[in-house]
Amino acid sequence: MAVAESSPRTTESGRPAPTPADAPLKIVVDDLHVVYRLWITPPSQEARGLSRIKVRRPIPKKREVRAIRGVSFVARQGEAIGVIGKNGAGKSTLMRAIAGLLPPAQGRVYADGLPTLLGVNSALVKSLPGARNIELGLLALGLSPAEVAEKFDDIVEFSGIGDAVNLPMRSYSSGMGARLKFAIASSVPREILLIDEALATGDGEFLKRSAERIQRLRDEADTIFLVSHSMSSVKETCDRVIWLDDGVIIADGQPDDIIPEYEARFGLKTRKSRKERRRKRRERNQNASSDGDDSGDGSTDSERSRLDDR
Amino acid sequence: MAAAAGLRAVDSRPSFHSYLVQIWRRRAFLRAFAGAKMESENSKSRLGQLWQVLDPVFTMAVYWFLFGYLLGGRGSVVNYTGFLAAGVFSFALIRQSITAGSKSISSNLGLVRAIHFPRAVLPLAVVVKQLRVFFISLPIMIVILLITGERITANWLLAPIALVLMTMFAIGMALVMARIVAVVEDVSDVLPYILRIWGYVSGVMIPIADRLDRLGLPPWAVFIVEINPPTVYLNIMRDCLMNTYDAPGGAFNWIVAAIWAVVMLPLGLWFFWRGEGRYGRG
Repeated sequence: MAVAESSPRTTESGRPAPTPADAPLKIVVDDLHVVYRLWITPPSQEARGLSRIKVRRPIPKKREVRAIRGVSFVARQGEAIGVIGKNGAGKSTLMRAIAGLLPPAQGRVYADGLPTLLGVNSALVKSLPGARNIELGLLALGLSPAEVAEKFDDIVEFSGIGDAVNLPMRSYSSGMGARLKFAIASSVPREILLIDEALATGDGEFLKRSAERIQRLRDEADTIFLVSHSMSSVKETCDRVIWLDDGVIIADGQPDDIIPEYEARFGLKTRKSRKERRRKRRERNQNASSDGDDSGDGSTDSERSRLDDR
Repeated sequence: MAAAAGLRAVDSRPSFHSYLVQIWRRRAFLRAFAGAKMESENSKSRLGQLWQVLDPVFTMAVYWFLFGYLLGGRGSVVNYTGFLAAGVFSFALIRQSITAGSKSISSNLGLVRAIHFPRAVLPLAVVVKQLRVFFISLPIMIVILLITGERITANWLLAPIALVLMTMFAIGMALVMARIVAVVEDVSDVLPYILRIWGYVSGVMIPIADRLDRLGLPPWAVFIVEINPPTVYLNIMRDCLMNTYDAPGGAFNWIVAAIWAVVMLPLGLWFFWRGEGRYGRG
């Protein structure tokens, strides 16, 4: 694994500068297909309640869910790529496939170095206390026990879960779990970083901290991908946007070109009431104008991500 | 284009040698994972880990009642209780390693899909965990052996070697089954029955050699039973620990046991490595 020469990133305040077209390749995704194989029992007709037991059960059938259907693109050094799309569009699947954690059915992903996935949805070991999960997560990432001991307190502090660190993770709220997992995964700087909806979790205070950490990781990493439903965070962080829908790329280009189109498609043309639309716009304005005021920031963000889902 | 830019496929398999090196580098993770699994079992029920330790004791009680008392299967064995103890406790290590190892990928998909590490660490950690359970239950076995009239002899010094050989075999089997179950999950549902029958024909609860003559099996079938891995491992264990019982075969058992160990461990690693990059598919 060659250590890539790190080029100084030109991140002036605000929007990052576009990446030159001759920057070294970091990731090549070549006609990627990802298929989930499931065994599904087809619903027997008109069987309800107890009678369902009596009716002869159909044999489970193999069903293939084609989550990614032929995705190709190239990512260069220094790019920050936002991945947007509806729920179920294949965004997280694409991230897992790029990270090499989900084997493709067809096609290949090539990378310079091993991409690291910062997923908040990937649970470690639920039956174990948070402290044990920190230890296991870091060791699995390849750190030495000494390094784990060194980073431990930082992670606990960053996640903000306090004494709950000694309770099993299954007793955690989803927000606490997500925070801890994000704290573990983001504690190690990486060359190629895949961040999966990390910004959509946690309360306002944690959101601010995680946004800061993502910014730092982005400065340290060569290439990052950010999956998010929050268009504001995509606009803030990314200089390129890939729009996925139903496992294929619909659009790939500048955020300024694509995000308005995306919002026009999923933000305005739906059955959403005019009132909600107006509130969303007001919140966005408020968010853009006030940088220092972060109280209520979290609810705004998650609200928006929920609205964008539709 | 990708190759020209010096990129590598993200799901590419490392060479076998560098894979082994990677596993070695994650030994701290392996230890922590084995310990964590023990901990998590402790938090599940009131007696927690104790159930794993007690499992061979209860199994022994059932076999003793069924085969020793009801069916009169003790054959030529003088100390049947000791015979059962040495057999059941040793076979429990093989059986539990294979069972838990087979599920080591499918039951840790969260980890597999979140973090990169050589996947072989998971089945290896599971066997390490079972080994720890075995060591906890070991005093019980020794007490049973001593109570039932066995004496500690110089042969006991050979028992650790027998245990090492048996563990090497168990690791190999756990790796093989882990890959098979990762691809065809249904196998893990059949496995307990296969392992139970395997235990029956391996002489865990009855001296299998006594039966072979009576069944009138053809020579090749007798040979298969005689080189059957659990049979030889139980034979060498009993030879080490019991002075009232001489396992049929003598030194032949040790040779076969060593061959199985030396073959199965690399074979398991190689077989599991061949599937690296494909684990975690849902």
